[in-house]
Amino acid sequence: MCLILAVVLYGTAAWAHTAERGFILLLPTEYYLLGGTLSVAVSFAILIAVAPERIVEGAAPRLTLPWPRAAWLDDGIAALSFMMFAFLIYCGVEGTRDPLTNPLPQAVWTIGWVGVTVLHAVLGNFWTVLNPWRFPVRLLRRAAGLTAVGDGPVGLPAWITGWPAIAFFLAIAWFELVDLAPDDPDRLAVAVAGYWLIHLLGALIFGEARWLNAAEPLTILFRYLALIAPVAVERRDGNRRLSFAWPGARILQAEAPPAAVALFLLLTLATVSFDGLNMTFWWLGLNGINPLEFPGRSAVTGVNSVGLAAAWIALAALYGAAVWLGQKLGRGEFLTAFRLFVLSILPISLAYHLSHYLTVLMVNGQWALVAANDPLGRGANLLGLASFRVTTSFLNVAEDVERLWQFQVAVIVLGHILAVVLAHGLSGRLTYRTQRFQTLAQFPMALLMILYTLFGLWLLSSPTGG
Amino acid sequence: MTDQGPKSTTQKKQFSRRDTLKTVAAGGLAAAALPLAGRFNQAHSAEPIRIGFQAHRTGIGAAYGRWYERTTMAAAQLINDGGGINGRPVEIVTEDDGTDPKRGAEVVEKFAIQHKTDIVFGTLFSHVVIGSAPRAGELKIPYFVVSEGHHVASGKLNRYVLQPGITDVKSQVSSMAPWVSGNLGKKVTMIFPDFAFGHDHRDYFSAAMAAQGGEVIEKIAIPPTETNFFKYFPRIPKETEVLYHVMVGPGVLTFVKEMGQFFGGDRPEIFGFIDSLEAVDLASPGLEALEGTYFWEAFPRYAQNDGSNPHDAFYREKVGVDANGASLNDPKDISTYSHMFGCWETLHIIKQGMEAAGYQGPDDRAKLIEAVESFTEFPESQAHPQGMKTFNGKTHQAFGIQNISKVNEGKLGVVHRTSIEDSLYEPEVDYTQMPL
Repeated sequence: MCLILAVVLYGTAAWAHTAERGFILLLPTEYYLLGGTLSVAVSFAILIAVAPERIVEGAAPRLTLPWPRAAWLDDGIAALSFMMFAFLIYCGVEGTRDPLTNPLPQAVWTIGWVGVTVLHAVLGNFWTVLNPWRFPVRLLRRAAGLTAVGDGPVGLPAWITGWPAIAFFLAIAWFELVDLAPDDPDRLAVAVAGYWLIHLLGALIFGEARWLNAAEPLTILFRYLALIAPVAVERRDGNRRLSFAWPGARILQAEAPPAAVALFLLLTLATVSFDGLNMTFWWLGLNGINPLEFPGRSAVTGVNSVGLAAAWIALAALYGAAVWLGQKLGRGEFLTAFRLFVLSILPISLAYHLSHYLTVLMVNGQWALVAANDPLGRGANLLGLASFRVTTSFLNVAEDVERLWQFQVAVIVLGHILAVVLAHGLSGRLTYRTQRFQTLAQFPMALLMILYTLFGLWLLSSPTGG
Repeated sequence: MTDQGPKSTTQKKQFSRRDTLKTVAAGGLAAAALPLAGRFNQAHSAEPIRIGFQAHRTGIGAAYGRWYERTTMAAAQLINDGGGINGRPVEIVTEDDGTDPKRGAEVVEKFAIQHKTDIVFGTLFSHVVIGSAPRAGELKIPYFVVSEGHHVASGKLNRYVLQPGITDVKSQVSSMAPWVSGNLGKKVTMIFPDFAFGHDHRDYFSAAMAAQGGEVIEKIAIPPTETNFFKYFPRIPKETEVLYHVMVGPGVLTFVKEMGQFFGGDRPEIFGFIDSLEAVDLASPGLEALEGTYFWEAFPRYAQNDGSNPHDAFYREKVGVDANGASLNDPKDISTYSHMFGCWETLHIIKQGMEAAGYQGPDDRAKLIEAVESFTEFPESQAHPQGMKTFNGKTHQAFGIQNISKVNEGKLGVVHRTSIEDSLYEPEVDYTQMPL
């Protein structure tokens, strides 16, 4: 009975993000919240004096370099990636039962969900090569006498794009945030293998590109986050070139997604937001749970299932309301704007993801190294790390916590400023009767982004219970 | 059981990481492990003793879980280096309970049915112990907890649950009263979080102080969601001689800071439980108010070098902890020193119990329970570095020496070691009357 939740201070759990909160509570976080939020507001105030077209012009890619076609290289990487995927599943079934030192949970949740997601906003879309379907799908197609790349035997109607991804992502999010043991190697191996099989069948039946881009949430999310990346491989006249641009600039040229994909992108942001919210004193208090005596996930299965769905509905409603009000003020068209402006939310998603999972990455990144050193838990020392011990001292030392907090604040604020800039630039693609209407139309969305800055900073500074 | 996937329980799978001796069990595949094989003298039965480690690897207990794991692995290594248990190597099979009671019960079942471990061991958080214990009883698998909870000795659990390697909160709190009343003052104000954990401190300490002729003159219960504490301090009566605090959670640092600001230089004696600040450097900025205050510690975080714990240095070296209670790999990584020794001592008691029972396999589980129940004393030794303990086989609970330490220049120095007698209370159950 004794210890109960002395630990909320130091909880460095895989998915408990509370570690450093005691020290954060000692910081003057209210000034950070105020300053960060004002920065976003001031950015918007300055921007409205700038014509959207100038932002678009200024953001045009500056430099391109030749890039080898090297399809064989892509195929080789895809084959290796698939073998690694199969090995990870094997580790999940046959390796140690300890989720922190088993490579599968670390590869899926730490390297994959946290790391690979963020890396797409840095390196561009490499999931098209790295995904575990490309190799087996093409191999099976060749074996069946088909071309490696091509349509499947069954067509997928255009309207479907995005909707299955919503369903699949809801399942992933529920598994991550609500399930009793998403890190358990056995359970995860079954879940991941099942997920892979479903999408393998989808890709074989409906075609690899068609299915994955319509239904596989990671393919869609990574494709859009990669628009933030400063580098991209572009096809021009049959040649491939490596192009460089300002971070986020490609979003201004991107096609507006279908409405279902827009809802999907909002779901991904809502999920990360809810992951931060569900352990705050506020949320626990709302659900009658003593935050100092968190009873475990089994006690919050129901409320967190509802909460996850409610977070998505609430965010979509707020976003929809901001778009609707904006277009009402500017006399614009709702659905076009709804689909277009979701692109400007992407940097916010990235900022939430990075700042929210930063400490997870720092702690579990170390466990991932331990797992890689001895993937099957049989005493191997592949990386020479046998005497390495994981540390979490940066979550228990005041100055380290302060530095992490400042980094998180910077990420949140910069992400929102970029979002405001992009929303302004994107508004140039919509038709308004006068410039005044165009300016007016942007106020509600800017207000939402300013409030979401405040919300993001509040989430990171709020006391948490587990 | 929810995981009925493609996970046939192969021998390979049951091996957990970093335990080189597992390779011995696998048939001496690794050359490095071969020299160790000779130590296990009963070659015909060198099948490992499999100990299911129910670990808080994720969830709210994970910070403690990390140190419980390190201590457990170090103890298992030491036992194996010394020839194992009954000539057989020990294998630790770690499963994560997510610090959740329902998952805890699932994990107990996995150990018993899927992994076929001999026993289950190592749980800390009370709600997980309470959630798992019934399943351990049903499956008749010995469940050795390292929880500090009074739930074992209270009679709430069953005959298969034992806590021989760590003292319980009732004895810890009660044993503080004689020294506090004799040295700090008899008029105490208690500040505690307003839920079961705080209420236990309030009730146990109030009763123990009354027995010493002292008095708790004010009890200030703080709502668990509170993060600002200034408004509570004016309720501390002027005549208070000792302030007893057991705040926990992310607000505890704010609590200490605001307490210092409230009192300035003129304060009563202040006494707390290290649970509030386990794994936190007491020299952290904001914690200056702790200077000169007192804490309960089970095992002193800072090496005392006064001969009071002759086996402390050995234990620290094996676990990989320096003289400041921090990791040898990172001097800023402070361990949960006051609690994790319980894993070390419990594993050694399991060894002693299995040897006394002539334990051969799961059929001897009842014999193991009876053997441990027959123990009465664990002398201070490398196996029991925290100090001597007595054991009550009827209540399944150990009793031991507690420490009171004073903060001096950001470090804790022991000023008093209680006697075991100070921590005893009337037995509340006789588990030996329950069938095995």
